[in-house]
Amino acid sequence: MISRILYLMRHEARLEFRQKHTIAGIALFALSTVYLCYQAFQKLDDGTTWNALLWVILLFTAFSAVGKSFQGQRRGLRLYLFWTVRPQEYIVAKVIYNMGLMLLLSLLAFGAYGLFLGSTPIDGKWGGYLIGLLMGSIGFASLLTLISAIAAQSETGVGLTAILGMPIAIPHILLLNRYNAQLLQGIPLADNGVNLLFMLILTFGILGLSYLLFPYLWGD
Amino acid sequence: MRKIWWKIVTVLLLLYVISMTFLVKLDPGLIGTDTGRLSPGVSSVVITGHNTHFGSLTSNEFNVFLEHDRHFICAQSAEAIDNTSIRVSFNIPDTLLAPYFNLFVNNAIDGNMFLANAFFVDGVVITSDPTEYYCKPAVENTSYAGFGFPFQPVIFESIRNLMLHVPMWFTMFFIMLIGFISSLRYLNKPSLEMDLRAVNANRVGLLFAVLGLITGSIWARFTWGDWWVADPQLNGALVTFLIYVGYMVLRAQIEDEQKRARVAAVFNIFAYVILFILLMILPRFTEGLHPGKGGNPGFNTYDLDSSLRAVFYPAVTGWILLGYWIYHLRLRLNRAELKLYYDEKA
Repeated sequence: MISRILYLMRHEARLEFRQKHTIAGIALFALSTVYLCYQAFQKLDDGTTWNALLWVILLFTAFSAVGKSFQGQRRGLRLYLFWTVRPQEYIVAKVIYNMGLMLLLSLLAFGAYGLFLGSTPIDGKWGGYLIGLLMGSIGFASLLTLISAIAAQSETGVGLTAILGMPIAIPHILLLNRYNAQLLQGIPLADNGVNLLFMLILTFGILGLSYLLFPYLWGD
Repeated sequence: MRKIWWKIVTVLLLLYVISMTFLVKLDPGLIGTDTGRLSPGVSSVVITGHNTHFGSLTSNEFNVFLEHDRHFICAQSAEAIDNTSIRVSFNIPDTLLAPYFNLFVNNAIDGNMFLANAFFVDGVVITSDPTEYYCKPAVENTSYAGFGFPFQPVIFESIRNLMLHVPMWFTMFFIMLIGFISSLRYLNKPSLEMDLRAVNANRVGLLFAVLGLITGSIWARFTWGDWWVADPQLNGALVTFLIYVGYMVLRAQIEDEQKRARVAAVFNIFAYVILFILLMILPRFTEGLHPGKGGNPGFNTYDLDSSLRAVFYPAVTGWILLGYWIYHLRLRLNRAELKLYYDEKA
């Protein structure tokens, strides 16, 4: 089963590389947004604003990148996959692939953001902040993969992903903000860790639900 | 008769609950004083109460005293102006343990009434030796004998909202649970009936969620000063509302009946689990204004004593039954509509 999951992940990556323009488009979106914010703010020293803005950018990047993961799947491909792989394997492969993709995009956006808008708020707290980045990325990826699978079943898929996904992304963002605010204030991880724990609970709860529910979405 | 006994019970329960909610008076308590700052020496203040019976007592039946750190200063004189105000005079010494005082007023009818941090004394010298100025009042811990809702600072009369706001959310949970089970059963064995149950349960649940949000918002305005605050439970409630609105939008976007039922069932299960995590689990580990944090289901703040319980438990039962009734009616209406639609097509 693991080998099939790995194969599916490689298959996804291969599909992405064949159409490089999709992933390039999303990277361009992220970088342009960062640059736009740079033009507006020049340099941000206030930790709260810095953090909130970065996560707004990452949220919309996530919606663009992961939200389209089930779009544009031709019927022939879906039928082929339906007969060859188990749905659980497919969704696990897709989620892990999206987690990797999201992590890559968020590191890219984070790098550009730090470059343009300065990184004074998080000096000396890189490790903690990167953990937050990791948690947020995998959280968004798992959530949006399931939502995009659900939304793909309807005729008008794109707008629906945002409508369905945004309410559930709100607690993620709140937990992230709380974690980051406490991190920037210097609160040690022992007290701050509960926020990360809850993000993990949400992420893996959604992952578990995806594993159980995706087979019902699969049969078409 | 067998089929409608519970409807009669619902009506009776709700009539009882609504009349009790709005007619029961609050227990006597202290609202405030005409001035919060005193100076050493003799000063006279007017104390205002709520639902008190000062007028029917003579002046020597009052026990008024100031307190801090278990040391008391008794009032020199106390006389009633009318039923809800008394004029009291205190003789405050120059040296005290602390500059703030709590106020106790006790009388035979109203029992023990308390106002926290009622007075601040300017120009005193703080000492750590208690002096002989402090008296020892001889009072028992009595309470008002009549039936009334507890008097709580900040909340005051809005405690009545307990019978409206909290049952709305309980009802929403219960009705959404019906929808959740119907969705599970649909995925187990697809049938139109289960899909109808799920969608109607979510519709009625959404109604109660909106009512819960509105009653909560009004309560917040009067106790916290703002229509909305950033609190985990409020956020969870809003997110829940948005998720179920998303459910309705999802259903509207899919044309094919069977596909719509299946996808909606999947989303419903997902939504209910998220709701459970957000509203039941997450808030218990965080802090905020809304009661229900730090590990307890959160009724301790309201001192859920017997007078509240006598109305609260019937309220929860009555509102849940009403929610179920509305759901039941909607379900039958929906079934009848579909039957008509299919009969016309045939």
